[in-house]
Parts: sequence; structure tokens; C-alpha cells
Amino acid sequence: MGIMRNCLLTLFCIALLMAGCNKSKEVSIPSPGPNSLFTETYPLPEASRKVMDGIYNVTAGNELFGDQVVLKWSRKKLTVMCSDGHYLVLDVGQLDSVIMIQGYWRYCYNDNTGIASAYIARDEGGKDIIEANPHPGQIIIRGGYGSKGNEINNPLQFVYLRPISPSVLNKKFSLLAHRSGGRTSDHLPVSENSIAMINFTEGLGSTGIEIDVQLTSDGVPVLYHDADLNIRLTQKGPVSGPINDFNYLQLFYLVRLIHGEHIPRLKDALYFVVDSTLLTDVYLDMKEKVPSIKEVIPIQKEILQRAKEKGRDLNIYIGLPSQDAINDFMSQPDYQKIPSLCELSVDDVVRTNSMVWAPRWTEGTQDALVAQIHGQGRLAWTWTLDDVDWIKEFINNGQFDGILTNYPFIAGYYHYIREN
Amino acid sequence: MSVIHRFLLITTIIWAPVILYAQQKSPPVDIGKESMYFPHHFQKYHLQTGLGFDFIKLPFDWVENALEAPLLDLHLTFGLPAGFSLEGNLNTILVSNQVSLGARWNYIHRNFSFNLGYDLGYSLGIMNFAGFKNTGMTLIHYPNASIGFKTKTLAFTFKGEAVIIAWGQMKTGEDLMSRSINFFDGMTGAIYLEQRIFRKKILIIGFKDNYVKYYWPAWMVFSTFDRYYHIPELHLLWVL
Repeated sequence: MGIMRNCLLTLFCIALLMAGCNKSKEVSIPSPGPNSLFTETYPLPEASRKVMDGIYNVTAGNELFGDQVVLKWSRKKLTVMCSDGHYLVLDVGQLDSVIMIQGYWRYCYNDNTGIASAYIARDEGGKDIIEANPHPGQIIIRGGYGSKGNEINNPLQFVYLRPISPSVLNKKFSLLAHRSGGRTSDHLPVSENSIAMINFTEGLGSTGIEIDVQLTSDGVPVLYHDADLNIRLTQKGPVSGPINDFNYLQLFYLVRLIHGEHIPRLKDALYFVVDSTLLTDVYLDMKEKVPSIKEVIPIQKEILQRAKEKGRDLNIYIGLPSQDAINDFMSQPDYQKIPSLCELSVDDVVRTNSMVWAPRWTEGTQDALVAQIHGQGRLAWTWTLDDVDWIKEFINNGQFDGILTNYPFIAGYYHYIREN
Repeated sequence: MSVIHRFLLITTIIWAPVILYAQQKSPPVDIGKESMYFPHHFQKYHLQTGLGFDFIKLPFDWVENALEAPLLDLHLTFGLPAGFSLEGNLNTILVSNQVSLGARWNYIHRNFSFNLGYDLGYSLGIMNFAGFKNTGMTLIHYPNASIGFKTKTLAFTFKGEAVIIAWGQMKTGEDLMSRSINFFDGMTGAIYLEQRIFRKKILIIGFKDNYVKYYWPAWMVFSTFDRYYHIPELHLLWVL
């Protein structure tokens, strides 16, 4: 009887140990559908977009968006950045002298989302925006947002307060998006480390990206974070195991990322960055189960040359996260002229002649060391910072030149709202 | 720890005493009085000690792999008059530690029982290596209730508790951040099985589900998600 009980207990324990699976969830972008009035609008010209950038008071919708928001245009989208992790990604068009706005809001720390729709009337800023008047009289954005589903059921109103301070705009501060835009666990509609995410990321307020680089068995650098092909990053398929065991064609034909994309080659991803985005910084996080710096350097050089020919402002840094990576890097010819980023000590930054020092945020603001780095004419970034209070602390009281985060809109809010 | 290793460890813990002592005659034990989780009138002014491990499975979203960790678990009860008892806990995995103290009022009628309790937990985490210069502290309220049922040889206890974070402080390098919040973090539900395995030795097997947003043993992952996660724990303790 005692043995029978123990047997049952053992089986019970094994079953319980198998519990605790967390399945990843998809959160789709809310949409008002294909028949909205927005489909009748024309895109806003570049000069008009700049007029809309600025700091706005929230006079309706404070419960979600706070008391002030930052509006900032990227390549194709208008991003509204809030102080606590809420944000809006909006499309803007003009119809006669009215500005029509449509998109969605999202809270980055959970899956809350909903649609948003608004307009700017002709005599409430619409005319000034269309005429690209650099000193608009007033801009009032009136509309609503939905708390559930695709219905608008709450009012939204933003009133223009002031432009983003010129000293803030002129200061180079990099808002780098982790894994090209966010993680699988952030429940975004595109996969991490994909070209689709690179296309998506500017709408979140990013000015740069961090991407993870690994080598296939035939020496092709690709974007992928984990050591293994797994269900966290890929759809269920016929292959599994270390990514380094497969050549690129096998990955292309047999593996799809969680939202259906192919694992991109580094070269294709960087061509997309230079040809199809306005991103200014790329941080190559070298995952080094198999050393890949030698394969990456020629691609970095080719893309930087292309950017120069196109007049694009673009920096691509090879990341050095460990002593092994540093040793590998320093064995390359002319390594001191290769743009790099070092995550270790300030002395290692000097040894490798890295342009950027990037310590982990968990070591604090490290003001003295950042000042030392600045004295050498280098930059300092920190990673990967996601907590609102710590982002605010690091931006307001730290001296870093950039933050790597899964939530670039939060860092963007605290950066752009500064007076100087 | 792989599935195979877990299976071997658990079966060893459960089966070894049976194999080693199967031939010995066991003295009678009143499981209702020797148990630690089952609500009953604890022996007055008597300290009972349980020692073992809690096996935890952290959410995939936080650690991005199937990370499991064993916490050392020291569990104490101290009987008081009129059905009251004190309960203490120390859990540690070195970089994460919690000590909690609480009181219970216990009622038992034949084979059924219940208790009402309240614990206050203080957790401390320190990491000063591998790019971390962090200290994290939290103060947590755990109001709880348990119902129990016993047979001649087994005691079952179902325990539910609320998790309310009263205060938290984090130090990162030279920077300090404190938050005073009475934040409802979630709830836990647990089932404990207590049974004499050999001689007078009681084995406690428990399964606890933490349905919470913040989980103190995992403070160093700095999760910012505002979502509830199921975090299962398997408890294996011996009453000493």
C-alpha cells in the first residue's frame, strides 16, 4: 500500500512539473476596416509633417495618455509618445483642408490596445499644416479612441503646446530598438530580428536598431537571437537544433519565424535599412557560438559605402560583448578603422578603438566613466532599459548618448520633452 | 535541469526511504498532529522544522528558455494556545532570498480543518557580478486561508493567499529608486500532501501556482510586463 501510494505520488509530481507552459500570444493591430474615410485622403508632404511635431497637452483622453504627449514623425508614421508606456501609431492624410488621422494605441507592458481616429479642422491648424507654416497659430487634434474591439467609445484631444526644443533636436541621441523593434514576448504583429520588424520599428519612434547576428553552417551571417531553432522564435517545422548546423538555403526553405517571415541574411537586412528606412544607427550584436566577425566586416563595409553614395547618415557598429569577441576583432587587419561598439570596460574600448561604449544599464548611470568616454570623443549607450522610472532617471540624470530598449517611444518621450 | 534529471531527483527523494527502510516496523503516527501545513492545534510552545527544496519554473517571456531553479526552503511552525500558531519561512537561492513571518488561527473538527493567517515577507536580492550592480528589496503582505482534510495516514491541505506588494526599492550602481505602493500583485493556490514515509519521518509534497505579475525570486530579470503569469512551484520537504 505504501509503495502504491509512492507510485501515485511520483506520477502526480511528474505531471505537475510538466505544468507551467506559457504560450506566446498574438495581439493584432486594430483597424477600422477598408471603408473608412481615410482611404480618400492624400499623403502629407514632408514639410507639412514637420509642422505637426511637438509637445501637446492632453485635454481629453488623460486616463490613457497622461497630461502631455510628444508627437514625432518618422518615415511613414506619426508616433504619439506618452510618459508611461502608452503610445499611438498613426497614419495621416489630407482631405481638402482637413487633416485626417487614423491608427491605433497600445500599452507596451501588456496587450491592451484599441483603434484611434482623429482630425484637425481647417481653422484649428489644418490650413497651417498643409501650407507648412513653421509657426502654426494653433493645432487641435480632436477625435476618439476605442477601449475594446474596433469601436470608438472615448474622446481624445491633443492641443499643441510648443515645438520640440531645437537643442534637443540638434543633440544626437539614439533611440535604439532591441532586436530590430521588440521581442516575441512583447506580442508585436511582426517577428523579432526580421525585415518586417525593421520596416515596422520607425513607427515606434526608433532612430536605430540592435540586431543579433549568427553564422550558418555555410558561413552566411543571418539575424537570429537564440542558439537553437525553437518554438519561441519559429513556427513548428521539420527542423530543430543549433542554427549553426544548417546552411542558409535549409533555413530559407524549412524555417519560418513566428509570424511567417524568413530568417533574413544580414546583408539583406542592412540593404533594407539603407534603402528603405531613415534609421541612423545599427548595433550588430554578435552571437558568437561560431565566430563571425570576419564574415561580417565586408558586409558592414559594403553597406556603409552604399549609404555614403546615397547621402544617407548611417552608422553600423560591430558589437564586442566578450573578451573572445575582442580577441577575434583585434586579429582582423586594420581593426582600429572598423566601426565597433564595446560592451566591456573603458580600457577595452580604448584597446579596440571602438566608437561606442555600451555598458549594461544595471551598472548605473556611471557619470564619471561616461565623461571619460566623451573626453575621448566617443559615444556611450546603455542597454537594455525598459522600466519607465529607470528610463526617466537615465535620460534626466545620466549622460548617455543613446538607450537600447524594447520601448523606444518611452525613451523618446523623455528625450523629446526636455527643454534643453 | 533536464526532464530526466528532475524525474530521477524526485523519485530518489520519494522512493529512497522506502527502499532503505522497507523492512523496518514503523511506530504509529498521528498525521494530523505531525503535519506542518494541515491546520490543527499545534503542540503548545513546540517548534517544528521542515527542510527541503522548491522547484520553480519561470515564465518563458521572462527568461526566454525553460529555466528552472531550486530554492532552499526552511519552514517553521510554533504552536500557541487557543488554536493559534506562528509560521516562519526562509527561502533562498543566494541571489534571491525571502524571510516571512506570520500567524495562524486554526480550527479542527474530526477530519476537517481550516485556518486563517497573515504573513509578512521581506525579500532581498543582491547581484554584484557579470555586469550587475543591483540590490532589490520588497515588502509583501500575504493574507491567507487553508482548508484541510485528513485520513488515517494522509493529510491534504488546500491553501490560498493574496500577494500584496507594500514597498519596493532597487539600487542600480549609485542610483536608488523606491516605490511605496500597495499593489495587488496576484494570488497563489497550493495543495500540500503530508504523509509518513518511514519511522516518524513526514514527507511534504506540495504544488503551488503563483498567479502574479511580480515574483520575488526572479527580481533580477527586471521584468516590466504588466501581465499575470502562472508560475508553478513543486515543494518537497522533510519534517525534521
